[in-house]
Amino acid sequence: MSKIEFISPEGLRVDGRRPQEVRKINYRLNLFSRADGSAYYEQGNTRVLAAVYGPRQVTRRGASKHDRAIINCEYSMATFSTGERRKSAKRDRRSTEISVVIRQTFESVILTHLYPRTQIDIFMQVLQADGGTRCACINAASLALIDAGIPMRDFVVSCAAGMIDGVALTDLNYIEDSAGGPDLPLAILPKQNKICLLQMDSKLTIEQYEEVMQMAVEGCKQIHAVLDAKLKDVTDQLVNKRKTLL
Amino acid sequence: MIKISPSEKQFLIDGIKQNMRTDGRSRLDYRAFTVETGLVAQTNGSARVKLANNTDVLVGVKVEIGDPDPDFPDQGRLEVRVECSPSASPEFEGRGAEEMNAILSAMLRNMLQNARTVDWASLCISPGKQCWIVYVDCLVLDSAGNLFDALSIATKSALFNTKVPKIEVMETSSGQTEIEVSDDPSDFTRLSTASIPISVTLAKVGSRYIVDPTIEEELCMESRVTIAINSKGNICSIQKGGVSSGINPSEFNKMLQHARKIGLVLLKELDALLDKEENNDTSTKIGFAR
Repeated sequence: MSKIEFISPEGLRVDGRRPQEVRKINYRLNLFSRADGSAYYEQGNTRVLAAVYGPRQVTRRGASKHDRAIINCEYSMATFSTGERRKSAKRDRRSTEISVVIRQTFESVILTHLYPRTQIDIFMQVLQADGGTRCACINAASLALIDAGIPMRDFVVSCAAGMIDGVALTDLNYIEDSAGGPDLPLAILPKQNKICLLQMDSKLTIEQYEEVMQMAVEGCKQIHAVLDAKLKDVTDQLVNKRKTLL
Repeated sequence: MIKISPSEKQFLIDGIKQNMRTDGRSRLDYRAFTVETGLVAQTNGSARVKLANNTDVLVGVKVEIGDPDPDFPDQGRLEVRVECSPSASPEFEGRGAEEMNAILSAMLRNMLQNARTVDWASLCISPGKQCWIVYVDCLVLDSAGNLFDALSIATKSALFNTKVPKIEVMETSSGQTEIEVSDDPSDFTRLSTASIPISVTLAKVGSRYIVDPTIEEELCMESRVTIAINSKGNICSIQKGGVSSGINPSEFNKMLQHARKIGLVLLKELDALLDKEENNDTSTKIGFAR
């Protein structure tokens, strides 16, 4: 098999994007009747659902904290979400790791001190995986928390970036993700301009790292613009509905 | 876990006695349902079914080549799995849904495994050596009662939507078989889904019975009967559940008759919906973002 050409001579990627371009984003809030907040989020072919419950009574006795709410996260992938069928949907090491990472991200953002002795659950379900599920889940969870009306310091937006053949790329898809280059998932608080999640598992020179990091930050900002614009529309609609009721 | 108070329960039971349920239905009314097929790109077939906007299930079907069941060497294999997502209820977190998953999977498997529902022999590639394995993976996303029926409708729709790639079996000189899967995505066969049954669930509440119970009604029911009906109006499986004292056989026969009548209407409705979905242009599909 010949090597895949990740960057065409014209500078376009396998799916026709430019290096700094994120995939098409669409989302919807409030899908489920039983959850307090929920969101469906799609970024290209990566599609995830998030549901939020709480603040509610702590389910595991002894886990309760007297001065703040505890956050509970579960990430799972549907058995049909990947090209090859997955044997089990949850409880593998990767899912557990992602659950912990996402929990830590949101522990720093949610105003947990407002709800002592309670629990907030965030459940994420991947329906279709095409690279960047970790970041998509963070964005979906962030939207579901907003839908549930849970106070947060800021929006959390997340985007990954990588480098293939010396070119920094934002928002890698599955093919680019499997190329073996560095992958840098990043989550930021866009208004406060702070990093709340950063992972990188490859060798890079400082200059290259800075380039990739810049790509990820730019990706996050693009995503934030899209999420924020639509969220304002949705909120406007809600307000208008209320006006007609009064 | 959803909980209702004794007075709320009494209200529901009294309403059912007067043939007026809390959502305005009479005892034998079924909720309106919607079907969308072909939503998940990485599957061979998929369907999402919603009952009255609140019970929400997603089924993905994947077909893979594998070893046949040693007991049925000349047939394809079926694997059914139901997963209740915690988005339907927080108690489904972690291992919390295991019991529910097992009950629902067993019911669906029994309904589909029956030899005459799908032509399993057509899924055999080389007897005793290789066959198609049909993985039916169901995801319960939101629950407002009657998961059994929603899953059965969604499974039938997903199998209807399933495209099995065409293959060519070649015999090599050493007696080995080699399989070539067609690269052309438009080169596929369909499963014969016309005789797959769907289930109709009746719940006994007090001295009356109702069809398609909501989640609140499920909390007041004494027993549940799930009956699978095919397009010929034949009974394909029966399952009685619930915690009650039992059902009188003559009353049970009446329930069967009602289930049959309702099942046939639902099947007709479903066939029309599926035909419409099939002729729909895929570019107009919105899926979850709607």
